[in-house]
Amino acid sequence: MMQVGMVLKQLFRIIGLFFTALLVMQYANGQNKIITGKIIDNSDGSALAGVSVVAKGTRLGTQTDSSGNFRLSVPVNVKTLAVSAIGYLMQEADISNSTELRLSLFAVSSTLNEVVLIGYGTQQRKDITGAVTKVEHKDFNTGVVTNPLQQLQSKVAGLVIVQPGGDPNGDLTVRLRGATSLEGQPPLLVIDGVAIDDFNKAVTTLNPADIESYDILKDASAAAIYGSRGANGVILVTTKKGRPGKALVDYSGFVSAEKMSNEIKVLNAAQWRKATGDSSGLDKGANTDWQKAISQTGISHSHTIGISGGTNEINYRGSVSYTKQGGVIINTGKEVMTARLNVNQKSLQNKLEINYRINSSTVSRYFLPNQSSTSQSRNGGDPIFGYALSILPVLPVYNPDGSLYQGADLSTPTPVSILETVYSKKRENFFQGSVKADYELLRGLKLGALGALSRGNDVYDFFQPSLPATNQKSNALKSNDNKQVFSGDIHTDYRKKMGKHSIDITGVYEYNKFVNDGFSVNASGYLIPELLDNYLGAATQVLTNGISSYKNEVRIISFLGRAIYNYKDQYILTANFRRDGSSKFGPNHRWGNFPSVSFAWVASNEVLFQQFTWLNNLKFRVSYGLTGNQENLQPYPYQLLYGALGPYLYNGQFLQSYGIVQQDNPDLKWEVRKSFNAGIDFSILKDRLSGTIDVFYDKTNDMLYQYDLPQPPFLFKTVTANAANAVNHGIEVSINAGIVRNKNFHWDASFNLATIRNRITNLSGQFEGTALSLSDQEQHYGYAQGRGYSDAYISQLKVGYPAGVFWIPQQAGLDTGGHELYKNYNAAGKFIGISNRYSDQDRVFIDPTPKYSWGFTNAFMLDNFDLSIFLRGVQGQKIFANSLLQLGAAGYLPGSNITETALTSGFKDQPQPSAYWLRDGSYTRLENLTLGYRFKKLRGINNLRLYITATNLFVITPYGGIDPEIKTEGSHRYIDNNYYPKSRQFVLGVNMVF
Amino acid sequence: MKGFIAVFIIGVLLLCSANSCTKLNVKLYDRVPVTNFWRNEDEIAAGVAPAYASLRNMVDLFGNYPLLECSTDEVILPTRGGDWYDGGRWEKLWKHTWDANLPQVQSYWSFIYGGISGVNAILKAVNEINLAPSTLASINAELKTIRAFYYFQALDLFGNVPIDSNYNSSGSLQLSTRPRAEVFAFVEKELKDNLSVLTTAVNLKTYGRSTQWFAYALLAKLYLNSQVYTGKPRWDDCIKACNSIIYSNQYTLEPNFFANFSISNDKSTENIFAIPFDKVGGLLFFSLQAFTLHSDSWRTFGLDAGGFDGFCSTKEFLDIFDSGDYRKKMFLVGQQYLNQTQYIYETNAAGLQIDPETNLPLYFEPEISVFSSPDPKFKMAGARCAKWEFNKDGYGGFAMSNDFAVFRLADIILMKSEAQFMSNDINSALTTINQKINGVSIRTRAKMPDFTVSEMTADGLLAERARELSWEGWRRNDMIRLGHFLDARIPEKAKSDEYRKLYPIPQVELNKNRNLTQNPGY
Repeated sequence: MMQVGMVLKQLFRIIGLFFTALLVMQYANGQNKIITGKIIDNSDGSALAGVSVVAKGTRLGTQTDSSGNFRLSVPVNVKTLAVSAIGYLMQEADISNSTELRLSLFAVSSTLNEVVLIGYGTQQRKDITGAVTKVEHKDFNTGVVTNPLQQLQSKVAGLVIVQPGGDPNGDLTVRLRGATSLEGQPPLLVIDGVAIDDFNKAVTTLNPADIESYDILKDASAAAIYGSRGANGVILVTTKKGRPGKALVDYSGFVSAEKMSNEIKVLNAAQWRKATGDSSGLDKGANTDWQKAISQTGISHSHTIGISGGTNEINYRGSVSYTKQGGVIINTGKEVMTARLNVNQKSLQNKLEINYRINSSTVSRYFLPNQSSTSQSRNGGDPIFGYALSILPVLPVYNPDGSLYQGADLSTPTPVSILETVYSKKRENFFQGSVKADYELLRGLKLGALGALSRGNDVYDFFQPSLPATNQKSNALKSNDNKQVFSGDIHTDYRKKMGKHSIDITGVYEYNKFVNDGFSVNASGYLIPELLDNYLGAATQVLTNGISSYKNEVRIISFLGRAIYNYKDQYILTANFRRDGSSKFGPNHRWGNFPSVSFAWVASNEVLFQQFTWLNNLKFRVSYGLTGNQENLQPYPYQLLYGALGPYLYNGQFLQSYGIVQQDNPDLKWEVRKSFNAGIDFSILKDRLSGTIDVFYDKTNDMLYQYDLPQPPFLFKTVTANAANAVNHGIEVSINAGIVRNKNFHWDASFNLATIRNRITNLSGQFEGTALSLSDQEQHYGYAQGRGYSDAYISQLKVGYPAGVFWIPQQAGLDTGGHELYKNYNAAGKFIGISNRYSDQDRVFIDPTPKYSWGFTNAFMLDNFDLSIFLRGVQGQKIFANSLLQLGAAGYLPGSNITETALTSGFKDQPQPSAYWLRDGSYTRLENLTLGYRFKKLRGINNLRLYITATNLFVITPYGGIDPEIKTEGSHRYIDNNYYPKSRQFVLGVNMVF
Repeated sequence: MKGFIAVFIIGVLLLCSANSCTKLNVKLYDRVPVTNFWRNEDEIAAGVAPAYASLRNMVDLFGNYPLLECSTDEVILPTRGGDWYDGGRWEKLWKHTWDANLPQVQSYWSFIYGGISGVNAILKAVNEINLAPSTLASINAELKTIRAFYYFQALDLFGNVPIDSNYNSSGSLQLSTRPRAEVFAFVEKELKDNLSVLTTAVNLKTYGRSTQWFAYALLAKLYLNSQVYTGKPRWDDCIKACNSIIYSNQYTLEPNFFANFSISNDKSTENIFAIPFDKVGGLLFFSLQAFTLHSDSWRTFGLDAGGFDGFCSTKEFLDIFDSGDYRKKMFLVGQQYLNQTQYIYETNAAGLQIDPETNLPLYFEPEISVFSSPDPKFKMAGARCAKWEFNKDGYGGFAMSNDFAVFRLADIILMKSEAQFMSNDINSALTTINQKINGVSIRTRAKMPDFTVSEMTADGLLAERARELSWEGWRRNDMIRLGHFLDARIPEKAKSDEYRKLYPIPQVELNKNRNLTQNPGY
């Protein structure tokens, strides 16, 4: 067999040479000229290898080498070269007056042949059977992108990325097809084949400029390859690699300035004086806009230098980056440094391929005074913003001598003073190294292994100076948290094509071990503020609970297999089976099985459809599969464990008491998501118009959550258990169009739209023969925040409704005394009138979740200019305007400031949380406007592109709060309270390749 | 190729040998399984301790304590403009309009039954220790006594409650409510059965723990309220239990009334059972000064943080005190001045305090005519409680190091006197209440003349208990027993219905356990 093949190959080569010789001879008579040139990718200036360059009107042609260079001898009468490559728009170049050609090719949106990652393997787009979306770097959002996922925001239907507020140190809320567990979790992130357990952490360690592409696995059949960890979907990240050729140096960087994009209209000093009659002694004569006072123009800059190159055997790309982002609030921001080295080696006649990856990063975060983690901003903002709204506008920021004003009696620091004097900083160090080796044992049979080690280390520093006027001692805290992850896998893959049939079988063994540990020390009474928390031993007061530490370990082991069968590229069947074990579950429930199957019919490859020449691709997909979840569990939830429970007094001494620390649940098992997906991919009119429509229906069963237990007999009020069920369903549509494709002008548009509906179908279950429920949270899930709103519950977990549905009384105006009136209902739900009171009977359910969300990108290219406009929005979302509620009554004057509308709204008492404060939070945001210019033919520079970007230029919304983009997960969902303000950015950036 | 295969095989072997391919047992680091506990005397002591440590939550001023005080005439938390509405929880308590969803009802129930299950779990574990400790009998007795205290609270607040005396990690047992009399009998039996095994020593080692005297005090409280709980009076049993304590000569009245509430009140010779608090030792949750003081009161006493401007008493309650009553100094009223000394209120005109938020004089006006008002002056409404010595060096101003006495000798004396009065033995009742111990009586240290025959009425005893024990957690119990709990009160409280004498079983618990029966009226 082998020998026959070799002989054939030789034969073809001889024939090829013969014809080439004939062609050359044919033109040998005329005069020839030599054209040399280089073909690059328009988006990043990288050399394109294997591009076909053909002299138009002849059969003369060649291909570019690995550096993108070509050399072609053509007759002098040839005026035009046709340049084409798969995945790029064909171009013609005029060579009538030159012998040198530099040409950059534009990638086309037709993606049928693009290589899509499917986890432990790749497939061509046309063969995909599941719901998978790829986003390449040319389509990324630009701007002050310091979190890579901002590149993806609203680019993928069904991938909801929400940035509640504008905190540079706030996590994005990322949810694929809605939350599975009641609290919701982000998708699994896999970077160059290595799954990372901590999503938000992993995201910050990535330099956005190092990313080549994202592949988003949306349905269960696609995510099933990651089985237990794939229930929330999977995002595969591929970082940039080197290409064969001489070394290239690339630089990308930007500087930007950003400002707060909106303010809440509270009374200014003149309005305050008018409203309060100016007689009270509170007036210190100042005229301060506190929202402005705590803000600044955030200046950011970012620089990435990469060096890449290599040979056919070995290629590399190394990059270092530095990014500094100044927040729009004083003394907040972050600095990120990253270094990454990717080396790929091929040897033994390309049978052995080894990939080395080293990635290291340091993130320094300048937090808000009350902030100690990036997840905090997701949990309902920071009190400093509420304070800046309620503090009187007649108080000064500085004393006449330039020192910070601390209240008339030096005891009440202003927001500015707090921001200036409290030190709250975190440094996150991350290192990851991995080696992956694959060997082609036999033709089509590959065997490989991967080992990866990552370490994360976070150091948090906090110092609050003393406030002598109130005897308040200085306070310092230092904490140190480590995360170590070892992951390894052994994988094998066999591919074979037999006539019309082809198969691809993959088998994997995966091992993951996570070890977490850390400690924290908090003490007070420090004399010298300059020492911050650097000499904790100098404390004069250490409290027993000021010292803490922890350590735990988790292991996950998995076996998986996948078989793909393809018949004539018309029928493609994929079957997955994955078996996962997690140490979080008891011995009887450790292992879970997660099968999935998907099928695609490529209708356009049927003979019947061949007659429709306008139809380039038409594919129908259907899939069903199971995935598991255990991510939000504590490490040892199934065991009965003893631990420290706090101090007690004995014989005059403070000793530590010990006891059972958690309600053990030996029956704990995997949460399972069963998902069904049906989709259509189409591409028509020479791929000028293509699109994808997916419909999904997911059922999550046995949801892991903290459920209520009856007392007596249980020691604990709650237990982590499997009980509730929920349904997520939705439609995702994305359409790409090449509207104009001229030589000098392009107009591409892409639009996506998604709906996600969530509904709780069950909230009860069994535990040790007792009924489990969410009896408490069913009623008391989300609360209004603020002074005097302790029991102001406003949302529920309720069967038949989406999680976090508002449950709220309806205000019916004010009575003549300015007291609120509410609509009252009887037990049967019949309206019986209005009164000053409301009870639970008078509450109504209001669903706050958006009807749909969408993203719309238009990209234009005119000669060397490019322009892109990116709009995105959400329709039908409702927001509880908590920030406005807290400033909503004139009665708060003079001691506390109020909104302008509160002056006229007539509230006499503290406004109660009612539907009055539920506002329409629909919006359309001009997220990004970018204008770029590409310089060509610059000496010594392969490619240079300058761009300016403006982000968040406008928001169209009826919402009266500061911004309608707020947390949409967890118990604070759709409650707008004290978020870090959003910003408007202006960016000047450059990408260049030497 | 051979090299690669060799490396690959070695890799596979390493991966599998170090941690067998499918082994998922992970190490514990910061917790231990039950097998690594209860191994020696110190571990047993530390394992028994949570039974007491969880008692600290009884004085959780937001969740639990309000059930004892805020439904009485003693403590009110009016709605001050935007502050303290909190879903109406304080208003419902004051006006007796609560329902089964009141957060404090839920919180107190969890406190009680979490405590009971905790004791049950400890009892089970202690009795399963392979080598039974020599002190097992006394450990069992002290645990059952402290459990009886939790049940006593359930009996008093909720009346008809389930009884669970075994730790059963399997909750298949859906416990049902037992009639109040049965709960009474259970508490009585538990106390009497274990009393003789309990220690009689009163020293550092037994401070804050179950002693015979604590058991007697609890029995006395049980019998004093027997008529309320069971319909049958047990005055003699109450007197006997009180006598056991009084004649033990273990306790004396502190000459200075406020010594019982000082930061070092663990040294009080009057404490029979106290819940220890210490901010440095980490025994937290008692934070009354923060809950009652005005945000600017720190200046009055040189504290390190202001208060939340919450709990206070009305003029009507203050009027129970004679103006000469030394105990009345527990209230802060009127104009506040800078740098005052607690209990000694010299006026210091130069240091007249102004509330910086409203720019009004910081003046505590005990007269409260409405429950809610946005008037800036209303922030200063109500007399504030200065009974417990303020901690100047608090942990952010919230934690106090004063211990909270559940039973002190003065209460025992008043209980005995009341039981004697109820048995129509007026003379003995008078003798008891005016009894001097080490030269001090309740009345002499209050700088008040002896209690007189004309004062010796149910109302008179209730008033004396108010003066002596106000804000100490007994007011509801006293008012129900002596018949004034349901009265109309200023401000805005109408006479309430009989069923308000019991709190409802929390709705969430009824939802979770269908065998529970709600108290009548709810």
